[in-house]
Amino acid sequence: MRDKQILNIIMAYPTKPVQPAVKKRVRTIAYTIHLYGGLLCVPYLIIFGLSSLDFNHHFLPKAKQPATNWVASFTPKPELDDTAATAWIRDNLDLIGWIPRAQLRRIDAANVQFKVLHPGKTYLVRAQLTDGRAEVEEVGNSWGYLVVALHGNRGVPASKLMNFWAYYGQFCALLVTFSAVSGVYLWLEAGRDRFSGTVIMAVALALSLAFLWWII
Amino acid sequence: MIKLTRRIHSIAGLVLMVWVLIYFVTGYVMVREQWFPRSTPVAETKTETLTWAGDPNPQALMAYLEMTYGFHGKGQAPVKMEDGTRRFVWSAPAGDQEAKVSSDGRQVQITRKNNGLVSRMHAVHRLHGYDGGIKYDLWAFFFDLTSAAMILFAITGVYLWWKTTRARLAGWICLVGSCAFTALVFYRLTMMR
Repeated sequence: MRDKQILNIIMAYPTKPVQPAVKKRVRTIAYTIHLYGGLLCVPYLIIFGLSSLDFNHHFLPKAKQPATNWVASFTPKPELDDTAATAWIRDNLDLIGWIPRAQLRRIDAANVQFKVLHPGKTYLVRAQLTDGRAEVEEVGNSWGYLVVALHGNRGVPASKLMNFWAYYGQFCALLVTFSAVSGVYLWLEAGRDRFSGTVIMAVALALSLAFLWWII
Repeated sequence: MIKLTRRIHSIAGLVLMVWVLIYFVTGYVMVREQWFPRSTPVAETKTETLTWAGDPNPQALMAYLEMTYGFHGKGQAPVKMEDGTRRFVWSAPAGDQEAKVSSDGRQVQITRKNNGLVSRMHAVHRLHGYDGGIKYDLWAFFFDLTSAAMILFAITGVYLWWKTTRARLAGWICLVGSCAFTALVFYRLTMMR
């Protein structure tokens, strides 16, 4: 009878299994990457979220700002063809951005008109190739347009900062993918709401995959 | 409050894990196009006799074509060409399908494209908008949920870090560093030439 009572006491208080050192280390590494990687990606996640919502609902402001005009000089290089000359002028004027070929217009032998675009601004440049004089009409985009343009941005020509932004975006993509999986692992390891969470995850997983199969 | 926030962070992650993975994996494939090149879709074309004596309304004809030839995907707005032919397109991640109805309405040229895996991933990533029927409305709804979850993960994640971590220096460095870099990008693109 006494042995049975002792057994009941032991069974009522199950002992926590001792975690092997390797498992604990894996958990710590996963948690550290999940936490600090997540903090590194905070602004990108917010930009991603807002821009993605805008794809469906178009709520971010897109109106352009009033144009400003300015004049600047550049070092003329008459031996360059149109494509090389416009890139040269862009770099001389300290501008960054793409130069769409379709909007490059040779006005006459000495004058060329082209656009330089980046997510924040559009420049209409009229350049005198012999004198080295450029008239620029600068139009700023709204912050809403900028947020959408930064979604999946792969860099901007002539800008090292924007190339770094492109790598940052890819880094965040990999980190979020890791965090999605590590988050599930950490939740399982924590042992909270395990049953309800497993049911939710299993149902969501099955429905999501079935839906993906249906839509493809 | 910490418990509630942790629960929201966890449950949002559990429910939307597949969607988060879909968008970030397909997004990475799109950004790294040089590593994941797209193959040209394989197209199959055939011409068939069309027996349609119904409503000349293009939408009615489109519904008939969809039912008869099994087109699936998001129907685009019908287009009437200069020579009188009418073009109907259904977009789907697996590949676009097109029906060109002759000007006399007696023949239809059907083209079905079969996208490769990478092209399908691109198409899945770009699928958005509440149009195209219940299937695509549901997809757009989950797209919205996933988008909102990104913002939710960021906010709840920062809150949980703030509330549950004692040694916060490393966290501050990560958070301030990433925010400062983003602010610099915004400044460069809006305030500087």
